Amino acid sequence: MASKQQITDAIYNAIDEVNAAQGSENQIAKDPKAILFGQGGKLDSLGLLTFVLQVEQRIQSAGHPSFTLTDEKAMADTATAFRTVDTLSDYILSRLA
Amino acid sequence: MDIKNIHCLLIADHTIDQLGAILKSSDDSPTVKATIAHFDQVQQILMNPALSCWKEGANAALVWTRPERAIDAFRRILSRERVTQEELLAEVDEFASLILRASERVEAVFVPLWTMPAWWRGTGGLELKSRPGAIGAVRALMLMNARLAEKLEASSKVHLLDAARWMASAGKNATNPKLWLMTKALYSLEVFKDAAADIKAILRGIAGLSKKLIVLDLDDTLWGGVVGENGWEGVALGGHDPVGESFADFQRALKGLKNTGVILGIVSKNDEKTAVAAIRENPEMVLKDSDFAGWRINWLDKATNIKELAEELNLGHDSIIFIDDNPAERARVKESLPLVTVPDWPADKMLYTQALHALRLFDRPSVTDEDMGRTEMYVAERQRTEAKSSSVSMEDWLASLQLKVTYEPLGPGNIKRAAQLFNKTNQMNLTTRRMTEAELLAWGQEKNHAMYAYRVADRFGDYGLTGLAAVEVNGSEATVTDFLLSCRVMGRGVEKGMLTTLLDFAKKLGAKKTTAKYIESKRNKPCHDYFKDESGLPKNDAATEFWWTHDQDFPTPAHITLVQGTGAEAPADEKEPAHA
Repeated sequence: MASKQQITDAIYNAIDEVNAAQGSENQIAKDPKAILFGQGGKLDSLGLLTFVLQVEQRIQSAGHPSFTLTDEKAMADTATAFRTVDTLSDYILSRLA
Repeated sequence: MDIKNIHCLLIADHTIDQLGAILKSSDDSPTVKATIAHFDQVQQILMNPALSCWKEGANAALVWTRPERAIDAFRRILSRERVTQEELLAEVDEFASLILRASERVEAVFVPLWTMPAWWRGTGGLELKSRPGAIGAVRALMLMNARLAEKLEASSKVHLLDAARWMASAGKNATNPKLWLMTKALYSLEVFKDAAADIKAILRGIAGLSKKLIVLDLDDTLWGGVVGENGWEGVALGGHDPVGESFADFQRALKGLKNTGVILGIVSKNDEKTAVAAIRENPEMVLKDSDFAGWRINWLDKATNIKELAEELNLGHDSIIFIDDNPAERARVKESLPLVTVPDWPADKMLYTQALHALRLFDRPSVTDEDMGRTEMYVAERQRTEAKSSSVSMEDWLASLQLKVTYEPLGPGNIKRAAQLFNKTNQMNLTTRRMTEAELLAWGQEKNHAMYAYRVADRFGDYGLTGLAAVEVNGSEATVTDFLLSCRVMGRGVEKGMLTTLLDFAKKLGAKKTTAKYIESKRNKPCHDYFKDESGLPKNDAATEFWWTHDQDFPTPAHITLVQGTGAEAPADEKEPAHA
């Protein structure tokens, strides 16, 4: 799990999962610019945490068992790191570096 | 239950909002409106019908609890406190009684069985043991679930759900301790998706929408290889070969479904003689020719054959599933018969059995005696048809059937089946009234009312309770309020025998004239046609009132033996009515 594309694929995979509970009007697009958190975002707090844990599980399963997106640092960075698919990919990449 | 208007109240001691969203948004039918009850107030909500959550129009409820929260004795077991089995089960009984009370407020209650997270293993094998005053947690959980199932078994409204299967299917992702700690959501979306799919499958079953007929291809579907080329000796089936064994397993799974009332049929492009010989002569065949209600084995288009088979078995296309290894045949049937369910089928033959078991198409609230013997009834029907084709005339055929119609008042021996028939018969139904068992019994017991149940049998077999009719006498005027008959026995003169019993009753009570008022529904034109012909009145398609005066007798057809029964007890081989 080194490339940004692989991380983006893991995020898309998690989007597929959470979209099942999002209703047709709140589907999240599988697009780098799709907003995940903040103004224009379609996830409520439960949905965001579920999504974050889904992404975390996928990164862990891809060879980074200690990886976490729910520690204090990640929570503190939420507003910027979780803004879009693209910012989240970059953030995960930086945490894995 | 109105399948288009399901509103489910979700009652849980864990966050369950996402299940509500999935129930609402899933592509699977039916769409379910969900209301989330107050978090972690399960007992209070079950106990108190006055709470506002019960007043929002829910016609179904889900009660999903954590075992340690619903049953305090189990929490104490997890804390290694001393708990007796009696204490534990007494609490389960109390919880079951709360569910039964709540079930009075809705038409269906879903209860997932209790589970523990897969990561919880306690002290291993000790959790399965018991000693005085101490029960292992896993053992306790098994006892609790078994007791809950036992206590709720009698209720036709309560549906238990196998939550352990959802957990096994989701594996280690079924629960996430972090999700629980941060959101109080105990289960993952994977679990909720499985739960929603199971709930919807049961709802379809309650609504009578489960699949009734599996139409099967033969070559590379029921056995491996092409029988026309290799002969039955050369196909892969059974033996000591993984592919052959997988086909035998698949046939065993199909036979299991058949034994619960699912009908099997064959539509195959083959030479009929060769294929039937393979079914009859191959000792490895698990399915015998008597397991199939009918078949079309020829070189014609499969969609046309399925259509014909459906007509022969009197089944709607929406009750059929078609299984074929060939994607082109599946595509053709999908396109031509859009109401027939055509599941994608694995290319790997060793996955057939798994694919069959994964289908959520056969759920039903219960399995009746009739369900278990349904194929036999179709085989008998095939024999009747053969007799019909060899008879010179319709009269000869009817006479050859040796029809016996037994009529009886409603009573404990027939009320359950009578109510089922009353509430699901559509075609031969004069007024399409719908009533509960209690309402039917009460109506039938009123003065000057008669409501009869009719059992029909012939020399080929017993159709069971297949008719219901009622008449109300007011002075010199009588009215046929209900007249309904299963489509299985329509057109054989049974209708006339039924009418005779009603007219006799009316005449004995002094009626001079009996009237049948037809109320049109979407599907009861056959009933209109019958009364139009039978009344002897001038033919008029728009007529909705038909009458008979009692200045003359109304004879029973000569080919029918009419017998009066008591209705006190169901015959030992009683068959329940089929959908009509």
